[in-house]
Amino acid sequence: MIIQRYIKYIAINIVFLLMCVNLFAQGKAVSENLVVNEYGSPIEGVMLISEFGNDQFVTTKDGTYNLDIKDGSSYVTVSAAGFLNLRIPVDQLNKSEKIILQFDVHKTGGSVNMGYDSYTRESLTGAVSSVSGAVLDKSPKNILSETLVGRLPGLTTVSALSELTFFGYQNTNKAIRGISTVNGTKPLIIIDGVVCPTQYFEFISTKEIESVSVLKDASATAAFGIQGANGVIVITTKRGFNGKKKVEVYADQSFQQMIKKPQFINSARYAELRNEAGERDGLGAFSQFSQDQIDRYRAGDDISYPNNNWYDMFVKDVIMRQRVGVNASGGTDKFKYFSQLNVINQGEPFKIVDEDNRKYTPNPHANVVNVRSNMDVKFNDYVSGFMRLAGSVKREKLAGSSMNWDIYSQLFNLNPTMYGPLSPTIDGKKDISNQVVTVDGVDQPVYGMLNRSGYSQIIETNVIAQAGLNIDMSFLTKGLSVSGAMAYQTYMRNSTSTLQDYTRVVRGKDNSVLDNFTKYKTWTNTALTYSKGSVFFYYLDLFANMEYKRRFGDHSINASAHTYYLLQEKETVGSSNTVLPYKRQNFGVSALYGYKDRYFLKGDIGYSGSEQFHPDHRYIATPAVSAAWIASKEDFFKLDFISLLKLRASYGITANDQMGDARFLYLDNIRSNGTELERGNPDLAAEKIKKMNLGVDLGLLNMFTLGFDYFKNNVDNMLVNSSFTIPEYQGIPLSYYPKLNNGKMENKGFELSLSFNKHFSDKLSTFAEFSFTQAKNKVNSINESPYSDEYAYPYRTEGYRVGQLWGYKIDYSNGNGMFNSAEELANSGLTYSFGKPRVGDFKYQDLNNDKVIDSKDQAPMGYSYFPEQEYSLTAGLNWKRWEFSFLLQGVRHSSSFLSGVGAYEYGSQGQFNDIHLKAWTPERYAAGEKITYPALSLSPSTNHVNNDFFLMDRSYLRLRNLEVAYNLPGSVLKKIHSEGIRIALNIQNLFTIDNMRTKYVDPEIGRMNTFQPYRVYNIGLNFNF
Amino acid sequence: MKHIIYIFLLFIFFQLNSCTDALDKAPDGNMQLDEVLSDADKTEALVNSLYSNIPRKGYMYFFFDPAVVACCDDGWSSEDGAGQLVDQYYKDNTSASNHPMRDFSDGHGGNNNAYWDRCWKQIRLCSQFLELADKAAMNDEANRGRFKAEAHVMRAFFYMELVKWFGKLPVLDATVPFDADFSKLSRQSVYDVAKLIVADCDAALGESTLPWRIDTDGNGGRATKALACALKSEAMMFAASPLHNEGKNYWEEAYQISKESVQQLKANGYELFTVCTQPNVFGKSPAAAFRQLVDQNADYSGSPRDKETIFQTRSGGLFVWHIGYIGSNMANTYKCGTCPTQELVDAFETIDGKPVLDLTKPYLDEKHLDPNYNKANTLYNPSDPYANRDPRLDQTVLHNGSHILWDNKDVTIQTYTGGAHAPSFDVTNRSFSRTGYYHCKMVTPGACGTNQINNSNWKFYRLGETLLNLAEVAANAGHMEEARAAANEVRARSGMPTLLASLSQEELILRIHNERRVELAWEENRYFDLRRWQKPEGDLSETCKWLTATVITKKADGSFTYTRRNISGNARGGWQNKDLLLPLPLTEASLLESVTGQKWQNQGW
Repeated sequence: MIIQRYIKYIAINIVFLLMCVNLFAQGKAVSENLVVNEYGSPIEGVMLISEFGNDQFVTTKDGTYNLDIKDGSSYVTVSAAGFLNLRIPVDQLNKSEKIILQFDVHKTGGSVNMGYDSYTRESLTGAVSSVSGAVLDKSPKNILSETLVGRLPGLTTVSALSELTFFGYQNTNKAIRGISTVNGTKPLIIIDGVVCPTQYFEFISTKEIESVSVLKDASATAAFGIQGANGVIVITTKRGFNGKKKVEVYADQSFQQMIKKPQFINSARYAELRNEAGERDGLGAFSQFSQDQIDRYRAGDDISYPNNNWYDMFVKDVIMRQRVGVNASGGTDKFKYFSQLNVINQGEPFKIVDEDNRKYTPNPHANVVNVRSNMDVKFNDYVSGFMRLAGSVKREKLAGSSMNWDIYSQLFNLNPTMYGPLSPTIDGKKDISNQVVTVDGVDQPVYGMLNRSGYSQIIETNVIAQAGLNIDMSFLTKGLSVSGAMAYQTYMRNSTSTLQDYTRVVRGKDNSVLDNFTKYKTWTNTALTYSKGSVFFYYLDLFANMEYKRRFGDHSINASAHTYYLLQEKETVGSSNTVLPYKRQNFGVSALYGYKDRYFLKGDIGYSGSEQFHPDHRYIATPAVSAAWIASKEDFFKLDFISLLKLRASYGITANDQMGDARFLYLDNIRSNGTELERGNPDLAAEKIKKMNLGVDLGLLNMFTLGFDYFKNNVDNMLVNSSFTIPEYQGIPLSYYPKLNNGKMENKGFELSLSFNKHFSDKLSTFAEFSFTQAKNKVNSINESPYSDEYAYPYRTEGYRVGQLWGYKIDYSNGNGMFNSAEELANSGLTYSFGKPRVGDFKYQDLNNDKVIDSKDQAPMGYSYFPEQEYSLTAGLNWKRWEFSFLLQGVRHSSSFLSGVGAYEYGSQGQFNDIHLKAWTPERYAAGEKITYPALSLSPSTNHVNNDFFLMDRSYLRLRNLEVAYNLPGSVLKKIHSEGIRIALNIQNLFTIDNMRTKYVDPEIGRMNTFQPYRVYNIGLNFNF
Repeated sequence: MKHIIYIFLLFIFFQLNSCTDALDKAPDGNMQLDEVLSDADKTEALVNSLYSNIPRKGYMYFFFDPAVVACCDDGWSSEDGAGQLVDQYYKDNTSASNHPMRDFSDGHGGNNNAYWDRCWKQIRLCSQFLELADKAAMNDEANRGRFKAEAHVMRAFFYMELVKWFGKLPVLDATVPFDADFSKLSRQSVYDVAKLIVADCDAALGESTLPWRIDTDGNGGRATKALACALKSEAMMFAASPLHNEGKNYWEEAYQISKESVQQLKANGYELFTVCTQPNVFGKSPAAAFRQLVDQNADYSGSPRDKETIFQTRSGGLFVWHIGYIGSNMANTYKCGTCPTQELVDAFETIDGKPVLDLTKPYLDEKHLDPNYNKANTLYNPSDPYANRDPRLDQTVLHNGSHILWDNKDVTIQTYTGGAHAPSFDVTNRSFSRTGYYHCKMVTPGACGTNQINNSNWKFYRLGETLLNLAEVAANAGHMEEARAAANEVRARSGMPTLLASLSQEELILRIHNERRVELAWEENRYFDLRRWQKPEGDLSETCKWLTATVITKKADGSFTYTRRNISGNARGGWQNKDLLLPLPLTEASLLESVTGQKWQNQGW
């Protein structure tokens, strides 16, 4: 079946390619007219499109158009970004001298791509937000997700990694309107109507993107069936147009700088803190370093007593990045094209040392090249086709085989007192001279990772090929068309490692001499050796769509039906069933009926199958209904100060069939060697998430817009493990026990937006928009079996948000929450199940009053990792040739526990951060000093558990983006035959306000031993021809 | 308008019919149980799976530390500052939700964690096989009986593992259906569990096709009748012990079963390994055979060298010289791991068969700094403490003045202050002993970086241990003569004199307890012995709370002075009443308590 389709599509595409060759005929001019704004200035880039969509033109810089209507349409739609849509009957089109477009103050103009079909924004019945590629391009970032932050209300992204060269799909966690099922949050991503491989999403450049939409409610996502439950992100790439060709050439230079530079304390202070920790552990005042040693470290004049700042030694303060590119677009009424080339050169974050004998340069950096070519061809009046070829190639170089963040994290294992980075020249002992120094327990010293490990070259390639045909079926009935397409998308990662090993040496205990180095473990210097690895996977999409768009007087219909079949292989390698191809099948129908452009009724249904379930339960239908009413258009509506009033409501079902990595949930899985794995449940079905959305859009005084959406998502057949009520002793591992279909949870919240939009004159306009989103979820049932009554909180999941944090509450009744004296410790009568508290340790609340602090006393605290509230403020000003805009974005109600480096002081023979400098000591306590940390320790103590001291509030407010741009005047442009030159300064992440206990950890990243977010200064130059 | 709708419907109808089987799973080798049983090769694979999840013990605990030894009074691990298994245990960082001894795994495949889950999984597989074996396809009909017998023995084996760690258990001799009612379930006594173990073992012993001994490498690690005998003996000894007997006296019953087991083992070719076959490696010490036995793998042949080992794991042994042997200042070593305590050294008698300390109260103070010397002992000299001792001491412990062969050179161990191997009390230094001693029992003499010899595969049961089981249960049941005979047989192998007939029952029991400690040191018995000898309300404060090292000072004239000190200024964790048994996993106990309305968790957790 699939093969037959393959052949069919391939044949069609070959014909298509042959026909492309002879398609450069010019349409003849029929009329020449002008589109202007309210001030009479011509507008460039206005799309004039006939009712049936076959004839279109885009205005040139001087606002003129040249349109010949041949498809029998009765009217033409005129639209442009920032203006209201205008519908003009064809017979009037050529009569009017000027078309005047009204400014789109309340954002009701234009259209929105909903994945398979686009709708005018005015007719939207559901909840959708969108942003143009031009706005995203203000952020000088390599990874697409990072440009979306704060731009799309309802979409929350949390960076888990701050990386410049690694474009992994797990860099950011994304969710649309929070979490509605315990089984995942990942939205479906659709690029140009095709389900997109997760990796490619991060690689696509902002210059290729026309718009990004986020589909949030049931009416917008029901047609996506079982893939729609977590919402959909739709990316539309740029297309060619009938009009004067445009060429854009651009070049950017960015300066990247981490917003937090961790503190690396000096040797003497380090030694004192180690001694302090030893003293608190009862080992005496100078258990780690003698006073003499500390004095020598402090004096700093003896190379035997080093004071190394490893961070400054290896990490660059500023990293460079360049971007250059060119794109060209245009066409005729027969052939339209958009072509793009985008090149990024991302510099290395580390300082590399020139080593004499090295035969290679291990500078870790990356180049990314993006290409895209979108072509639309009209073969004749009935048949047209498209071909989109896009892709990216990333060439990355690594020092050794380590990813940059890996190298970075190793910095924190090195103490300032360590000698190095290389051992000195020791007479007669060549084998330990000038070798990489490390300490016991640290196998990967940073110097060696960077300079003596060889190098790796990684090539990541994404290729996206889409081709399809569209047949205008107007011979059957006007407005009907059918299209079919095939997309083949592959990802390949090829790595060539050219690695070598190197000798590590460790220094003996005696600090007074400099020749007591011994070889560490068994590594020795080796020659370079090669190895190669590769990962490959693909998505194959077969797709067909039928569309019917027509107006009959006051009535309008916009209907589509689609079907697609997706075959996909994932990155996984190995022998689990995750290597088998994934298959998906979906059918969907959407139909919108409009009356007088003010009443809208929409119905959607998806029907999709899932490999997860037994054939009897395999298919699921997901219907939704929605309606909208633009009250302000009614004749009886007489309130002048209300310029817009629109009410929206939707209700429907979306579905999810995923449950972590588990596959084929209905089947038993017994391996041929007799190993029993999963036991299936043939009665399972997809979980249905019922979504309701109520919205209102209110425009005031042609200036202000207020939007409010309330939503509620409910699921009562969530896929959950039955294991919560099954004891282990029955012998089937609980992870293999059959799943059930009876979990319940809810997710509700609202989106609020307030905007201001005003053109004061043709030369001065301004806008501001504030939006706030809240999504709170609660797990109502997950078959949890509660703990006994001895527990302060017998339930740990049911009744709480997904990922609720649990920890010990500190008893602050004495002021500082620590045992300040031996008497206080003894009088408390408390014992801890996780170690013995010392004087200076945290005093925890005994919530169940049994005098023992153990897991029975754990309490819910904070929120979960994923923020429940997000807000943003974007505003801007256009004045003459100047443009200014900024984006402030923040999250609230997000927390997690700080642990490891930066939080716990004992790791790797002492890792100290600002909070540890004023730890509890009897002296500080007696002196009444401010104490920022409990008593230090050389090893894990009762303080190092999840408690409300280490609970970090991950709220923040960031100035995400700031842009100042200047457009050069015409006098300059003429000299170089340019249509426009724009110079822009962009700043990303200029400042952050947060509430963290330590100032060296970014609240979004949440860890110290990884790259913190970058502040980026970028200067960009754009030439238009 | 209507025909539009028809066209749409036609379009959808066409698509619906196009790929009806598109979402079926590709054949990938996954199968249902019936398919397995219909294929004789796959049935054999199913039998192999009965041997999954056998813990590897020994050096396969977290980061190659013999944790069970390090957490009883025989050893102290220099991993005590590493924040990991033993460190958490020493700091009492234990709870029902997270217990280092139960939950720590380091991905080396040792199976030395998650005992509750793993053992129940294996018990179910054994029960399932017993239920299905009669309809399974067999390559050779004679296999059917043997396979069933193996399933019986392995079920007993995994029950024994569970009892050791957790005590009372629900007794299941069949698989639990998916729709089972768990509310009627309860924990039954250890005696009830022992009866099931004995019944399973008896079923296996009655099966003619189950061999007494494995004689080919290919079958290495499979269950035998000998294993059934060892399990029976051990299970009944546990059931009779004070911790588990619930106030009843099962010693006589345990004695009968133990006696029969030893008789059967001996009648079927099992005997102590008494003559060292490689004196060039193991030396001429009277205990050379003892050392060779534990260091070398048992061989599988019709006439094996080692006729003592009853069951050893199939998984290969581990290199240990660089991670759990001498460590300090030696080339190619990483850490010294767990070292013998002064308490273990004190347990070795002098060569005349007299204990060094008074076994009724070995230390006069709580912290073990004041040894209560046995007044009848005239050979022991506190100023020359390693002279005239049980030959097994030198085969177990490296002490000041011991000799080892390292990189073909003779090295004298110097644990005196300033010596190359002096102890370090810095918890961040894992290369040096905390006790002043190093371990050597499990390391073949001469093993080092240039002579890499594997540790022996873990020996779960050997006749020596079963004999000492018999000695203990016989003494407790009042069969004094047989108790002494069994213990003396073990002592004689290493050249130790017999226990005197003049010993009272209480004295004899103490001597046998001490004999177990000495003979079975580092073989993971002491941890469980100390616990089962306690009453349910008892604790380990006398043995495991304070532990001592010996600090040796070298005087100008070359002689030494020996000082005892506590290894840590703080009491070591793991001595409280609750530590007598591991906690059931918290979720499991909570779940069972809420389903059954009874208490499931072990006391104190």
